[in-house]
This record gives sequence, C-alpha cells and structure tokens, in this order.
Amino acid sequence: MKTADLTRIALMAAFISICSLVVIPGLVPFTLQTFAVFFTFGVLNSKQSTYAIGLYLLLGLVGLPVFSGFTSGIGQLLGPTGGYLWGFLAAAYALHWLKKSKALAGLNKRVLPYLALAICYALGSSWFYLQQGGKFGFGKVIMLTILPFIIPDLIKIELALNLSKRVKV
Amino acid sequence: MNMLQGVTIGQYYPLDSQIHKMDARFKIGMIFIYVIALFTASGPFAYSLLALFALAVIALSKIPFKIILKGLKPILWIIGFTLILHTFSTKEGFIVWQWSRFSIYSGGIVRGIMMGFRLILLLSITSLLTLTTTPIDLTDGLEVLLSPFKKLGLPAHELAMMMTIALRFVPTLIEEADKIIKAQTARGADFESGGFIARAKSLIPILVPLFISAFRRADDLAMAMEARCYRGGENRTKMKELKSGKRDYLGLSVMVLVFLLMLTLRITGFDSWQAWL
Repeated sequence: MKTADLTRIALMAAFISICSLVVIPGLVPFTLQTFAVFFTFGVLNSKQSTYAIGLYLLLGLVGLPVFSGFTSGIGQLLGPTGGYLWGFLAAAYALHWLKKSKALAGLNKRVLPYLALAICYALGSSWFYLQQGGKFGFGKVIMLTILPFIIPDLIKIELALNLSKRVKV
Repeated sequence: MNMLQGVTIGQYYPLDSQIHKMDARFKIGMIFIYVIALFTASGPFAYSLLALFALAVIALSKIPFKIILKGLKPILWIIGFTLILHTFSTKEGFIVWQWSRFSIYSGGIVRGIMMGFRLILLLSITSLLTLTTTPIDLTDGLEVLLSPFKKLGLPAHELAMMMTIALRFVPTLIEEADKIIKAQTARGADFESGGFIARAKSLIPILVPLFISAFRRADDLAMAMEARCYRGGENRTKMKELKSGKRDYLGLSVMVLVFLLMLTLRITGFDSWQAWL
C-alpha cells in the first residue's frame, strides 16, 4: 500500500465517522452515514473504500464513539442494527471482488452503488431478523428496516455520486 | 455542524494515574470484555455492579467527573429516546399508568432505565480509554492486538497507522468545514432554510471545497511521511515499547471476574429483571 493511499483511506474513515455522528432526531433517525459511505465509493477505488469502511468499523470496535449516536463497541456490531454496519463492509468488498473478477464487465457502472445498497439491506435486514430471534415476521422486518429508509437512501446515493465526481482528483 | 462542537473523540487528558500508566493492550482488552459484560448483564443488580466498577475506574484515573459528564451531553436525547421507547413498548409487570390506549407497565420503567444506563456506561467507559491513553500508545496496542490477523493478509501495522491518522483528521475536518460554512455564509449562502432537496443542495458548496482541500492535505501528509523515510511496518522500531506489569494483569483478572459474574447471573436467572417486578 502506498503512503498516499494510507492517508486518503484514513481521511475517508474520518469523514464517515463525522457523518455518522450528525443525527437528526425523529421517528426514523436521519444520519449522513449512508451518504458518507457512498461518497467514499465515489472518490476512492474499490479496494481503498473497503479499507476505509473497515477502518471506520475498527475505530468503533475499539471503543471510539463513531457509530451513530456516539455509540461504539462490539455491542453495536452485534446489536439489532449492526448488520447494516458490517453490511457496508461486505458490500464494499463485494464490489471490489466483482470488479476484480470482471464478472460484471458488461454491466453499466451506474448500477453498482445500487447493488451495494441492496447487499447492505439484505445483510442488515436478515441480521435484524436473526438478532431479534424471529420476533418479527418477514413483512414486518421490511416495514421496519427498509421502507422508511429506502427513499432517503436513494437520494443520498445520488447526491454522493454527483458530489464525488466533482471532487475526484 | 453546531452539534459537533462538543465532540471529543479521541481526546487525551494527560494525568499521572494508575489507569494512565496501564498497558494500552490490556486497556483495549478490558474495554472489550466490559462491553460484552454490559450486554450480558441481565438485571438491576448486574447493572449496579458494572456501574460501580466504572465509577471505581474513573476514580482511579483521577479524570474529573465533569469531563466524563460533558462527553455524555451529546447523547442525552438518545438516552431519553431509549428510555421512552422501552417504557412504552414493554408490556410486562403490572400497569402503573393508563390513559386511553397508552399504558405504562412497571416492566417498561425498569427496562427503560436499564437500557439508558447501558448507554451511559458504554459511552463513559469507552471515552475513558482515549482519555487515559495517548494516541500513539493506542495504535501501538492495536497493532499488537491485530497482528495475529496478519496471517489472514490483514496489514496490522498499516491499519494501526491509518487509525491514528483518521483520529487526527476528525477535528481537522470539523474545523475546516466550520471555516468553509462561515466563508460561504459571508458570500450569502443560505444553509438554514428550505426543504430537504434545498438543504441537500446546500451541501455542495461545503463539501466540494472541503474535499479538495482535505485531499490536498492528505497527499501533503503522505509526502511528509515519505520525506521522513516512512516505508511501512517492516523492521520499524519503536521509541517507546509497550510494557505490561502486575497492574495490568490485576486489572484484567478483575475484569474477567466481573464478566464471569455477569454470565453466572444471566445463566442462573437470579438477577433477571422480570424477577424484580
């Protein structure tokens, strides 16, 4: 890894940490975390983004209050919404892997972020389902974890991708 | 960005105390166990014990209580929200209060207080780690703890180095964003009004200059590191080696004992919160 990669990855991990702390309270808490993650996908390459997200999770895992609402620790990663956190990492790695294996060579690049979001939702919601010990049914899980978020998330992704094009250096 | 003004992520509070002198590796390990213990805790007795333990550690660290409380301020509304959510959603115990369709059960109150407590303990104990450990010690400790994963291809040294840099970038980014917001406001930009789309659009004149300067900064830092002959973790020596002693083993043993106690309480169900109703 080049030294310049090191500092850029660190920068993006710091950005994701800051964005996760900005919470606008409400029935469905609104954070800029998703925005920051997809912004990272936009400005770094797939391997670097995987590292940046991994680094962010590691910062939280060690106990720095970087997860939404100033929380941290393994408890958050294993908690009901933890699946979305490591879902980001899995999505980033999946994108990296797909790019490397050229499995999606013919696919329009615009689709990739949405694919990442889908992976993230799938992992996050299945984890929520398992973590709650099947307390909620399948439909209820989707109602609780996907429906209220999907439109804001899509807007955040669009915004992140457009912005990242402008700052790409 | 006003709500980020009080953020003290990774702030170090230099003092001479037993906790400050502890080996960073052990401190990280202890926090890890504490957080797991916190999630194993099953009832009021377990929580009081963990709170006592946290208070003892804070007292030993000599860090003014005011600082810890200040760190809790940004999560006050989250604690309140947790309390209310659990109070209303738990339907166990006896009804304490009822008004048309809403009712509060005794179990809800107990559970709400417990969950609020969990958040407070989680944040105060984790902030204690960075308050009592210098960033260098913290990353050195992490590097050691991550090194077993080297076999899986994880670059332990690079990850630890990036964590230090990321921590340093957090206040830089916040300051820089603040400056840009002020500069754009002086030029007549409006960040306060408008709907969702207008507000989202108002991010553009902040984030574009922020990132152009931040990336330049990151590249400058990389160049400065290379100019000082930084070339990764291979054969790199340290000015201060981490040392562990009696203090560290004692601390870790106490922590493990507390965890085992939590586990026993949970398995036997002696302290389950339902039993307290």
